[in-house]
Amino acid sequence: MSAVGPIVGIDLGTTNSLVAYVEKGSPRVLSSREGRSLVPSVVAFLDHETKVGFAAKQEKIENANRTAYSVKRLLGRSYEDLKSVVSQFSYDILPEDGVVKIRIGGKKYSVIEISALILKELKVSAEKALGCGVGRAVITVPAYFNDSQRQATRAAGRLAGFEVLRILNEPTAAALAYGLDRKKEGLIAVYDLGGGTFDISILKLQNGIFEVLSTNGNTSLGGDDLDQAVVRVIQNEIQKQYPLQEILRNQNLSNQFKANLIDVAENMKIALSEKKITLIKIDFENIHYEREWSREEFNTLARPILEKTKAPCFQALKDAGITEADLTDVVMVGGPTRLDIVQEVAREIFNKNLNTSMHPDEVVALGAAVQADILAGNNRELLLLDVVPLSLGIETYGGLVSCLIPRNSKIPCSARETFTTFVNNQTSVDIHVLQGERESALENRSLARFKLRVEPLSAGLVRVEVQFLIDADGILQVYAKDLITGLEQAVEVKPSYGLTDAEIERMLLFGLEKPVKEGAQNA
Amino acid sequence: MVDYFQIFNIPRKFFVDLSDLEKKFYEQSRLYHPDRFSTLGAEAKQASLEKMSELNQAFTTLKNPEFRCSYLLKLEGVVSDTKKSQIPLELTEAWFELQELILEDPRKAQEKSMSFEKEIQKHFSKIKTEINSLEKEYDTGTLQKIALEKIALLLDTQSYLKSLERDFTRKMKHEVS
Repeated sequence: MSAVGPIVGIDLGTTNSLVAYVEKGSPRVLSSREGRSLVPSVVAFLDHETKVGFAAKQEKIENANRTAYSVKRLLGRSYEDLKSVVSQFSYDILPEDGVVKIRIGGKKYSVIEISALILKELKVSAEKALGCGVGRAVITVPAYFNDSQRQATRAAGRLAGFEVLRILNEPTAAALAYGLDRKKEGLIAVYDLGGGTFDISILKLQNGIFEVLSTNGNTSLGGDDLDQAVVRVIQNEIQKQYPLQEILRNQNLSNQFKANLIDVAENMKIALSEKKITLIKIDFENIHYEREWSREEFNTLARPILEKTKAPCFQALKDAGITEADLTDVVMVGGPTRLDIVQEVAREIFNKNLNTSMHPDEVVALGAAVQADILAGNNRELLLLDVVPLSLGIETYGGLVSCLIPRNSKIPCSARETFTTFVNNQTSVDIHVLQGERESALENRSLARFKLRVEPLSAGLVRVEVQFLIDADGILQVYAKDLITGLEQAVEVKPSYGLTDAEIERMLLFGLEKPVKEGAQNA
Repeated sequence: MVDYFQIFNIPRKFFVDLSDLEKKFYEQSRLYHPDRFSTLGAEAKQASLEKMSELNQAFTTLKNPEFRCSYLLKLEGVVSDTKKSQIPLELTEAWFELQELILEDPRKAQEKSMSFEKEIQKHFSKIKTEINSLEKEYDTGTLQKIALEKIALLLDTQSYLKSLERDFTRKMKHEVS
């Protein structure tokens, strides 16, 4: 990793990824090795080669079993979390040690490894475009990503060979690109609907300072869900005419069929954003499906899904202490915001005209590049002040949560808590860190469990002060100090659904291109 | 204890000029935010992390009138004497009566709850007015210590009212529906 050289900005998206860089004061998207601005976030593991991007996307149907896409929806999450959606994917997703693995041709890949391959493609593209080594990056994540998802993103960056200088929130990045162009001031809302996630952020722009007042969202809500709604309808219609179970006689065919439907749904969504009616045709084995779909019909399916963006927006406005009338601008970000129906729902929320002037696919990467330029020390005019999206707390007596850092606290921030023992000669204290807004520990996300080692003394005599610090990436760090002895102890917080630093180091040594063989995982 | 007023170089008062506070917070953020140190060594990074956390905490505390009020009391070393705190007796009694009524005649309790809610709000605004005038007394520098002690007592009453209000809302939601 180089301590000099360019710092690039990366938008690691559910559907597409981009890399951008600031040259002569203005950000531009760097073209990929395939000569395009976008790199589809798709990886195909074929017999003799691994493809990433458009080349991989072309394998999506024929090699459905071997092509991973939309992996961002799986990143940093437990199998338990994803149980209800794994059947939507046309590749195999399995539980392993609490996280999920993707099985392709007898080999198992972690979601972090696949994300790293996409990042690696961007790295090579950037190096080719800039004509030098690129070792440092700012990588964006949905603002509503929790600690595990952020850690997993950072791990993927490291695995791809980057020093990740900042994990940046996508709507904040978009605001930066937006504010840079116009030197705007005032209160803005960024409505960011991507392929798999939804974010809303409210920012105050003043004199080059971008202060995030609040953020909210849903990390399982995006354009993919609109596709799935269409897939379900088409599948039902086909099922009425054909003996589907007979036709899809093996896993391979079934996955190919699934991939085919998703592809058709995706293209329909795009076609209907431009015209009112489109003809849908599917030829698969002996199945022949053909009918016209109207925008109206699509909108009826999309509406209930998009309604789910409303509550997060209202909560964000409330947390910012403003009403929609106070907003100077509503900026639309993400591919699906091209759709009529999405804009209609956003107008219902904010009661005002929307700003659709920013390129919905590129704005986040451009903003990431601007932030990279700030970190490089080239831009002293601008500064981002961001917040943590979810409350952080610890489990207390009776399975309840005691909140230490409320959501929308400015980051970095820290909280201190003193712990003691309840039994004589107790040698450790268990601490369970949680993230979320519920009162009961079980209903929140478990971030980490760790044991504090303490001197065996009479109950209540021990006093250990623990500092919970959320850094500028929105990631938790923990420090502990024995108040009696003054000794500090390092607390290793093993991410619940990610990889530890040691595991990443090992994988770096092992090499990215050589996936871990099945069964050899813990050898 | 860290003096947040000193951090931003503003007078130690209950009244804070919010746009001035914000201006100073922005100024210091420009200097100390981790974004300014991300290509430097681990030590400089850690120092900026600690400094910026403190700035954020200080800004958040001073910006919010309620946080600011309890912070200023702590900073001045004023602790309330719980023996002296006053509980609004008539409100407590009314609450007991209402709870009995919930068991006996939920519909009637529902009707009565409106006026009870109003009564709570009346107490809240009375306390607020009193606190505001005591804050002015402190800010203008007359009998400061006494003003602070009185505020501490009023805050006790206020938090008692808040928990009563919470109980009330919860009970009306669960038992009368």
